[in-house]
Parts: sequence; C-alpha cells; structure tokens
Amino acid sequence: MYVEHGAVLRSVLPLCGPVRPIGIVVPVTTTDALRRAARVSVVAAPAAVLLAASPAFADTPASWQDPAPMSPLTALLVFVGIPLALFVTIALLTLAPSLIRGDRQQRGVTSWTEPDWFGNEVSRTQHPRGEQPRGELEGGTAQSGGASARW
Amino acid sequence: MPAGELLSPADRRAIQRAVDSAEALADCDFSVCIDESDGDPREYADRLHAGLSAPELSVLVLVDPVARQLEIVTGPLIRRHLDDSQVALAALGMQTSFAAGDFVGGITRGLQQLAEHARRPPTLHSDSR
Repeated sequence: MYVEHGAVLRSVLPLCGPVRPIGIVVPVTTTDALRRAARVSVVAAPAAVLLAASPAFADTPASWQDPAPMSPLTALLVFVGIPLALFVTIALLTLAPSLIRGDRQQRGVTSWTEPDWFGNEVSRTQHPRGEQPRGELEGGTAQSGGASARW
Repeated sequence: MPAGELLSPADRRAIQRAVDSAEALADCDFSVCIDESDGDPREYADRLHAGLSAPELSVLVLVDPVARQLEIVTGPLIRRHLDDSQVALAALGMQTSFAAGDFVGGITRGLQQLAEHARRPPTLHSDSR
C-alpha cells in the first residue's frame, strides 16, 4: 500500500524557500498483519491436525462382525511361519549367485597348469618358467611398488 | 587345474574388458596373470613385472589361486600417481571378494579401483595442451 504525501510536503516546503513541489511515494507495508496471521496459523495447524485425527480413536463400527477366534497353531503359522518363509526366500535369492559360483570356485585349486594372461603379457621366451635363462628377469624393477594380500 | 575350469568364457571376457577399460582410464599398461607362483609369490610377481614390455609404466596383478595369494606390482613411474597405500586398499577389496568366492568381481573391481587412482589429473595450466 502506498500513500502519497505530496500534499503535506507542499504545505511544508514553502517554509524552506522557493522549491519546486514534487510528489514522494513512501511504502507502507502490512507486515504486522502478516506476522499476526503467521502466529495464529502456527497454533492453529497442529490443533486442526489433532482434531481431524480424533475419529481414529472411535470404536469399530457395530455393523462389523466379530472374527472367529484364531487357534494358537494358526497364529504361529501366520505371525512366525510366513515371516520366516519370507526371510529364507530372500536369503536364498541373495546367496544363490555366490553359491552357484562357489560350487565352481571353492572346491580348492590344487594346481595350475599354465599362466593365464590378460592385457600386456610376458612373452613365453621371457617367462620366468620358460626355457630361456632368466637373465634380466631376476628380481624386480628398481623402486617398483605394490601390495600383497592373502585370502 | 586348467584355467577353463575356474574361468568361464564370460568370465574371461569380463576380465579382459576390465583390463581394457583400466588401460583407457589410466593411460598405462595393466596386466593380470593367473598362475601358480614359482617359489615366493612376491619374487615371482616381481620377475613377471620385470619381463613386461614397459615395466616402468605397467601394473601387474598376479593372482595365485593355488596359494590363495594376490600380488600387485607397480612400476616406478606409475608409483608417482598410485602409491602403495592406494594399492593396498585395492588389494584389500580384491581379497574380500576372493574370500567370498567372487573371483571375477574381485579382479574387475580391483582393476577399476587401481585405474581410478593411477589416473593422472589433467594439467589445466600447461603450454603443452
């Protein structure tokens, strides 16, 4: 909301000497009203939620039929058996890939017939197991690094 | 044991793909050797590494399935970007996968990790670009 104060200024400015009258626009906001509304909404919103939730405390409708009593065996089956079956199924699905691989890999490798290379490989003549004398292959490269691990 | 019993053709393709992508990423040579060590595994890996065409710029991963031993050897030039602690971290991941029976996954993930560390950062303020 803007209020023109030109009329007031026109009555005051002649006292300051010959000045050309101008209009000045001064902004006046309604921040107080906004703050008040925010305060009310902060209190009102949780109250509205609580009031809306009150029907949840109501009893079951009288038109509903009482269910037949559940035998302990059925309860055990529903509340223990089914979750257990789900647990076993999910565990099997998770472990199946490694079990299938493990069948091939975890029998224990007792010997290895020949080196299997991927990428840049040592030529057969230069291979440490080759027939040629090892010569320069003895020992590692100076200042070579790396790491070892055992599983 | 022949290699075919441990690695299926699909496994071999996966390892080869991992080697290729590691080389493309890090701009250096990666070699994976699956073999039974002749004597001490570390010395054997060092000898194999020295026999590569450019050992200074090569990373050798030796997997000994008989002794259940993993050896990674890095050349001196690679070592500037890929220090031993980073290699040890990759070896730890591979060790965990191998122990879980995931032979191929261990090799491929290990190669990827090594390549990511070995990758040289791009030089942004150089005349040579």
